[in-house]
Amino acid sequence: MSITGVSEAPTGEDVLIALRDVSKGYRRGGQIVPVLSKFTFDIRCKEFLALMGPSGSGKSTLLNLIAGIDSPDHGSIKVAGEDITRLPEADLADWRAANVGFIFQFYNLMPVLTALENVELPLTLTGLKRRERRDRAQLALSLVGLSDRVKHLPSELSGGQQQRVAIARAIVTDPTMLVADEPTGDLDRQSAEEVLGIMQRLNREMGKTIVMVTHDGRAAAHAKRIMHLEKGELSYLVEQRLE
Amino acid sequence: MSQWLKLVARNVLRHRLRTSLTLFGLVVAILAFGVLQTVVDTWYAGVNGAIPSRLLTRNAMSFALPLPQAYEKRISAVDGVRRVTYMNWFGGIYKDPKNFFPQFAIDAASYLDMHPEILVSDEVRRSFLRDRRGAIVGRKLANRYGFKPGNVIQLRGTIFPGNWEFVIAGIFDGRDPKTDTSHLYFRWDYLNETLRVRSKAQADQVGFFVVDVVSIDRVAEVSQAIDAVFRNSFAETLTETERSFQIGFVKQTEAMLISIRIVSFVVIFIILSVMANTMAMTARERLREYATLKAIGFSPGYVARLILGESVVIASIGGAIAIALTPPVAAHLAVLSATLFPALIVSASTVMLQALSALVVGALAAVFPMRRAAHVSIVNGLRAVG
Repeated sequence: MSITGVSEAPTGEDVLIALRDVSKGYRRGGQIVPVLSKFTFDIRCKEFLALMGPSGSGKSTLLNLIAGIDSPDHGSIKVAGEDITRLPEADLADWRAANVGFIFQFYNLMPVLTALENVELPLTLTGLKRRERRDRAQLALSLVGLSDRVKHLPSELSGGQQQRVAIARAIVTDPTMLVADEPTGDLDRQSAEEVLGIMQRLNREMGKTIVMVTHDGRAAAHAKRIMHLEKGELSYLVEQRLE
Repeated sequence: MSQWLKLVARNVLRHRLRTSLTLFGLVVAILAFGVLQTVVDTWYAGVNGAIPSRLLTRNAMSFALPLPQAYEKRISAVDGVRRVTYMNWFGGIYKDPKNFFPQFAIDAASYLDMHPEILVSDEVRRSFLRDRRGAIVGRKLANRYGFKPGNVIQLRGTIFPGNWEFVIAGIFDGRDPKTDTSHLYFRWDYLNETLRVRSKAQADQVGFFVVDVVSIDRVAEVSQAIDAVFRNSFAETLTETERSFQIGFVKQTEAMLISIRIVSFVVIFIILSVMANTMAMTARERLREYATLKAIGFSPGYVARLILGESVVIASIGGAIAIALTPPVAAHLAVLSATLFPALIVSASTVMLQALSALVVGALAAVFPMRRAAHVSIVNGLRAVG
């Protein structure tokens, strides 16, 4: 791996996510605290982008906006040409179900469902028959190396295994992009490496666009580009050449 | 099983202790509601069981004052009257005042003929009519004190002075479970002949005449005709249907019945508060899960239905257990209450009310948690600590 320096701007055809003049603030104690201000940025197709920066820099807010679980105060966010800021809530939920796979720091699995049932969960929103849902969920679990843990409840799995189940759940609907918020934040180094390795494979071999928020430089080193944010603004961007 | 149903079922079993305690509270509340409703229903059972063609004629001043027995012939002569019988409230004490049970002196043959709800065998009837000191006791009373045919029992008079001995001629049953079998009936002629000796002023008098009217359509007309016969006499009469009399009697205790009904609904309200608190706590703990579901594409309505389903399932299980327990508990209460209630029979309407209460409690308890889980933003929900 080598760091190549400041990134070049992507060409129009390559762009999957286009943020234009995006502003977002939160109300705290009766005052609006700006988090992002007129933020403009493009994320390429099949990109693996790591968002880094100190707490309060706006990286999680940016991730939430890209994932369609939060809405900007101003500006537009186009994903594959569709402005998701204009979608009504119900349509946005459908859009997320079809286009976004979520990976959370604390896995966020349903504790009462087995690994297989957790992975199958997003597929219940599709018109697939039960048999096909099961087959797909099993395939997703095998991709993350957990074929032998299908009937285990999350409480019966290690942190790393739970995160791999979460990754399987994120990819089972074959979404356009994966968003990961501190996916290795709760894992030991070895489990973190396994999880990052899987994410890297998903990006390289399956062409998934991944946007990952992390505090961990070693986790960010698996990304193709690293964006540093400072006080809601792009501080610098690093393109990496991964071996 | 659908994914929704699976999640609901497994969430119900997730905190077994909490679910068990909530279920216990629900069962107690719905059971108490059912039993209290049954007590009130039973209080009105006499009203509902009254035979519409039977009239009661009593002293117009008060039912505590007697009427001359000689009125019988004049009442019988009123057009529309088929049969007449008469009775006296005795009010004796069996060993101790706490052993209360109703005792009536009756004109045996005519009274039994006019009260088909009192079931006596031919042998018991013959024995009762043969022995002037004979008495028949209801099954419940007999079971309570162990009375058997041939036993001699003594009652101490309160209205009629002296000690009175009776020979148990037999035991009667009720035609249906609501018939009161906690009574003792003895012969009016025994009472009267003894009074002629002991207390002449009380002799030849009765408390009530029971009048059988030829047709239900003529009940109002006959009751007016009977009272007209005795208007301006020294003992004017008041004739009303058995049902009206029972309503008047029950009305004296109406405040108590209203209180019981209020208490039964308060019990439901309390369990609603407990259940609502449980569901609110449950939903608060699972806020991050609900936010996750919404993030991956499930609608707020789906999340709300998860909470509603869990609440209604718990309430339904609690309601079903309570409904199943109500008849045996009511029966046990009837035994404990001795002669206060003939039988505590749980009516279909009470069962319906119990089921409805359980469902309403389940649904209402989920309202606020549903609203919160459905409306919380995904970002805030994901930050929630379970």
